[in-house]
Amino acid sequence: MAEIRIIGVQKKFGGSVIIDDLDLVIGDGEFFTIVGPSGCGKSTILNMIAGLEAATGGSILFDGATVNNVSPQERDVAMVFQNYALYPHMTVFENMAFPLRMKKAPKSVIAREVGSVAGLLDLDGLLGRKPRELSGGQRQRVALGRAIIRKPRVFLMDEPLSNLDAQLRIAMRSEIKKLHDQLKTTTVYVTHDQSEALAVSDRIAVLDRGRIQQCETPRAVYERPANAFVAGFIGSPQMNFLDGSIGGRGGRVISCDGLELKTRQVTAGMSDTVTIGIRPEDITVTEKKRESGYKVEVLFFEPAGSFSWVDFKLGPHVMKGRSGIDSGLEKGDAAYMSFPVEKIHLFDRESGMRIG
Amino acid sequence: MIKRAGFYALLAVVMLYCAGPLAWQLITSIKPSGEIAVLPPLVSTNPTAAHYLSVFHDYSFARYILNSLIVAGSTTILSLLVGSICSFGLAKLRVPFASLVLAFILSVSMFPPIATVSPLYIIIRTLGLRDTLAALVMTHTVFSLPLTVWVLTNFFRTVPDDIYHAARIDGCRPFQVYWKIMLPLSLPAVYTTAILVFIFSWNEFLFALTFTSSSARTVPVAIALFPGIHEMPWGEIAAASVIVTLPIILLVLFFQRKIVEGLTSGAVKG
Repeated sequence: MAEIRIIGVQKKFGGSVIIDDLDLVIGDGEFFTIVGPSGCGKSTILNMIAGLEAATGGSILFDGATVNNVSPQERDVAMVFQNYALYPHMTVFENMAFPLRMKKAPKSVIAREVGSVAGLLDLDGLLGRKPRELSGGQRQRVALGRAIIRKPRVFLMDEPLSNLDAQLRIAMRSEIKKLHDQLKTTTVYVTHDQSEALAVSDRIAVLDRGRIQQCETPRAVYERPANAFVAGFIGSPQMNFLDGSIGGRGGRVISCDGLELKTRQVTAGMSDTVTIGIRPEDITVTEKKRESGYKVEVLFFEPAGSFSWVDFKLGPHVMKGRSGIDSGLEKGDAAYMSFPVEKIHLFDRESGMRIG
Repeated sequence: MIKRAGFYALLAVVMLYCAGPLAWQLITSIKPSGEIAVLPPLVSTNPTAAHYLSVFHDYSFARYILNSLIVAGSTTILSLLVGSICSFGLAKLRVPFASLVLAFILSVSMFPPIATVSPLYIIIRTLGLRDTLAALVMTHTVFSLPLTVWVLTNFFRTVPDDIYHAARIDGCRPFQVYWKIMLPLSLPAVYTTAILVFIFSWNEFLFALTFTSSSARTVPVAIALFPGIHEMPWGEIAAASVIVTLPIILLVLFFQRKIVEGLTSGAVKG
């Protein structure tokens, strides 16, 4: 187990800078997730921690010791790959035993360790099979087994669940979480799936174009996104955004395209052109007008089980909200939407930074 | 129906074209000497094994076969050993200008052997390797390397980088990845290349003719130079040709079962 400290790390490929001046501290035993859209550099960070790619600047420390020049086989990290990357010519047993064999562990130890890991991951009956004879979920568990078997200082997981179907993915992510609770090994988990990140992490770093946009607990990232990018990336369906400007006495009114929204007081001295964000799950759409409701036109009605998503038009803006399952709204209906004022997020329109 | 008939007719033509000479050779080899020139080449009513016995009695054919086996075997092993290490580097390590290197290696095989045979002869004579098997192993290896490197590099490139990375993280140095993972994983490609190299070396004529005179003679040259007293010993030549085809056929049959496609399936999401 180890604390990972990344100080001023830079990565260049050819002429282009992928990661610039990255600072990150991942605590000992933490389940840390790096989440971001594809191409944001998250896998590059993971590969640099693993030693598969060299940082072109800055330093990476494990427990205070610089590991920049330590080769991957000596870093004592284990990695789970998106494509599983099992050795196809080896059986499940041999795959999981491989890291121990490379460490020249005695045969009896290998047999015992493989046995206990196989038990932990429910692979007992499959030890003699080749990877091609396994299902996707089983392969993923073998890959996990190969990673945990030698009790590394750090686990690295590069989108380990992206190749599984939706149901399995949710089952496996709680297995990974449980595994972490048992082993307490520092884990760095990379994913592009924000819901996965919210579900498993102790802390999340939201990455965009090689820069960390926010690095906090899942709850903080969801409830108080640091900027418009994080707000749009975290949460599903995506947050509604409206451009507007602050006005009225004490900045209590936001107007956008003739529409006036009452809001809580906004800190004075901020720029008055803003982007307003409201999560769809905070918007209630009803047939009958409620207090402080706004009249909207229903565009699309999408049942989601216990409730329904409603796409609607507020003035010129298309937005998403939710309604009861039996609201009976249809395309073209007039309806009313409302939301608690404390649930709205305000961002500076120029910089995208959160202002209230 | 007509389509089917056409298909089989075409098949028959191709079969005849490919297997015809071979069948003729086989028929000739078991004909008594007197009937050899008779046309059409049908199986004789009184077949004989005389030519086969003669090949081993009157000529030191066993010796030539052994020579050929040593040369082709050594060439194959050497070429694959050197070629696969080279390919691993080109395919999986960060070698600058890998594509250029690969193109350069391929360009070596563009020289016609006849253009290089004289300088090579001088080199071999200077090294004192004339009429040795080593001279043939050396030249055959050099000339089969482009093929080996080309085939194996392209195969190694199809192995996902993540497997290489996984092995590195699991505690392998790059060479250990090559030896413990890449090579066993690529056995189908290795076998295929091995067959091609073996056949090339087994059949190679020009260098074998030029660099050897007696003790290091290989089969193709030996057959071509079968001495006849009054006439060409066609029966013996036919018998010898059949014999030298056998190892190749056995080799292909043996390795055919090992060349299973899709050995990598299951390693990664397919």
